[in-house]
Amino acid sequence: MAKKLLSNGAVVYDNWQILDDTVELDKASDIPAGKVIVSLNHWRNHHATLLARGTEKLGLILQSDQSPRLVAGELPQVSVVAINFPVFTDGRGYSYARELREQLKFEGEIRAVGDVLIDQLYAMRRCGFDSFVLRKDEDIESANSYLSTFTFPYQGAVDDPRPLWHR
Amino acid sequence: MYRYNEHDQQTLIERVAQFRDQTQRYLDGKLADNEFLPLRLQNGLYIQRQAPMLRINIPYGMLNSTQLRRLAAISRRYDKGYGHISTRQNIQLNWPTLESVPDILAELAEVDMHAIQSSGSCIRNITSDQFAGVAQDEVADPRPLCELIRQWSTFHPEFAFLPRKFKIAVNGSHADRAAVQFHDIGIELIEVDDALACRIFVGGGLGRTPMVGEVIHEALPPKHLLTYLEAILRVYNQHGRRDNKYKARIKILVKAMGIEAFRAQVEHEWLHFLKDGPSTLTDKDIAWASSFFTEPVYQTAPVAELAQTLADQRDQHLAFDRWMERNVQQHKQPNYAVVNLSLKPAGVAPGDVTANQMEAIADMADRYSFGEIRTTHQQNMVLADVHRSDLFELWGELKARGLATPNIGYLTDMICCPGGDYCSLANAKSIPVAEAIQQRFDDLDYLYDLGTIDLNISGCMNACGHHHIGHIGILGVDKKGEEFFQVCLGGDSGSDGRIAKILGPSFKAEEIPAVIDQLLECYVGLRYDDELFIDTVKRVGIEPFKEKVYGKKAA
Repeated sequence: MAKKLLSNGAVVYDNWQILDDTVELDKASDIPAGKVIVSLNHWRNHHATLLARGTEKLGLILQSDQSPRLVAGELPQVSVVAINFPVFTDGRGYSYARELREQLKFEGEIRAVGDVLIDQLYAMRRCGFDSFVLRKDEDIESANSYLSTFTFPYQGAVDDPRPLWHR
Repeated sequence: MYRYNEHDQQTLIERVAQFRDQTQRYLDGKLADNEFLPLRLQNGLYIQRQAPMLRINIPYGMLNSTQLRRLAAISRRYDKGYGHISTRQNIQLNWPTLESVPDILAELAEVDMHAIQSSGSCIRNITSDQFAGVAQDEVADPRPLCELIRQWSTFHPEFAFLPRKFKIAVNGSHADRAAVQFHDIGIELIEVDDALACRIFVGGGLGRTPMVGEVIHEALPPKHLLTYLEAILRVYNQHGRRDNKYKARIKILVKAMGIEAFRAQVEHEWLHFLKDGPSTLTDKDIAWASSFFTEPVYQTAPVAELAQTLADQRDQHLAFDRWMERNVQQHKQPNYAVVNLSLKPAGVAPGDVTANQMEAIADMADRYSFGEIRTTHQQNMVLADVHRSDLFELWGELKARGLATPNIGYLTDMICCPGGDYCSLANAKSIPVAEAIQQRFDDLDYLYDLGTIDLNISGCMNACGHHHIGHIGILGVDKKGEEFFQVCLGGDSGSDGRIAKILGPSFKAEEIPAVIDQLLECYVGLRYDDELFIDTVKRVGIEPFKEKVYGKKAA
């Protein structure tokens, strides 16, 4: 069965492959064809080979201790940045998504991966995530409604930078 | 009076729906224990020794009579007919069932109340001076800024999963009644060149590693407050430790980095990315936030013979005089007074208030105080706007309800956590110790002679009873499965913030009243004239007290 993800509010097939550090890529030819999201290590080790694939087929995955500032200059070379949540209570990824959007002006897709649960989708969306690979046992078909839990968010975020009292 | 607007009301309705869904999924087995845990904590729901405990927010300690009546009804219907005022001005129910919590929240939402972020690793509800708006020594009313911080921090999407809990307090008076130096962030409103400014402390706190906060900004213009807070929180969210929950508070990060380096990171984040951004406050915003608080229509015309009548009443009734002396404070409006209701009579767990009392207080608030009630850090309640000509009558009613014990600020007005009788974290039962002390020191003349003494009791090192900042602090400890109590001395929660020093080896519960007695005797012997207990301790140090309690040590 093909993998699915929630992307901009719709459940769609996921045609990206994630190559994190658990996948060994000894030589350039080990990199599978198609769209790949690679770890920072793989990105550094196979930069030239990967670049030849073209921006639209390239993504980066950041772990929760890897700030996007580490790759600030390389963001134009990828169309996806995935942020991994090793456990849903590790909240660093929320700040990373905002930094990507608000400080580094990244306009590509920001994808939440890892321990991604429906109860956190609303906050993630507000911080700039636009796609979500939910944990396997989560019900992706019902996930959409969890993106918009509250009608009047108080504070500014990526979805609307104005606080409620300025809207 | 503090009032929510239609946005707040809609948000509360949606919050109830959200938590009902989460609770149902948990009960259906679709949400694991560890997944439900942070969700329920962010709604103030702990699973405790006896039953769940629900902590309901009272923002800035402000309640109206309708809300208090609703709390009374809820405590009767879903609990055992009483509530417990916490040291963060909130109210806790000790016996609700998990299944009933969504219904409780729905009933609360109808009167603009909730439990949002009253626990969990997120920004907790904001606390302030219980006398805000009526205090004589006020530089500025802190509540409009509190309200802006509340709105900014409520469901803040970036900071829902911080390394650990995060507490913010704002004080706007000369006396610090919000313990700003003992919060993750403390904000003190000051005047600089005729303009209001915020002195910002960071990294204070109690718990396992008590620390006095350090100043990160001496005088921040209020318009920058939210963007500056966001910068602090962002640095903490990314760099606070997540590997060890005992080292996860911001105080540990500030200490590890040093305040200079921490400030540099915050300033970098702020100056480059946040300063002057969309959350920058205008005067209009602050005025709008002020509109959440309506001031009562005070009667300002002088009242004939008011002072004489009161003086006569005090002359004729010694008990009323005591109560006036101890429980009633000056109001910024000369015709009015601030009345403290003691929730610390002997024989009652400090801070507990019954449903019947809540209803009586609500009625008295309607009759005597514009329908408003406040809760205090000292776990008491306040009627903040009582006309001086009503004081005698109000006193009579309070007395009949057991709410006029004239012990505000005295030894027996102690702060005490729920302890091992209720709390699953506690090492020791704090309430019986509090009761034993209350029983031993029930002689009002003696208490009167001793004057103001903050006695704080915590059942474990998490320090919910703020033992580190009591003039006398008592901490429950576990020694090989047995309960013991450590005594510490010289803490101060005010502007001269300091952490108490441990006196020496710990005691059994039954020894504590005698130990307190010795400390007091020692003080009485050492004090100059009207010197307060805390000032004597500061002057002479803890050695004389140590000797009194443990005897002279061999050199």
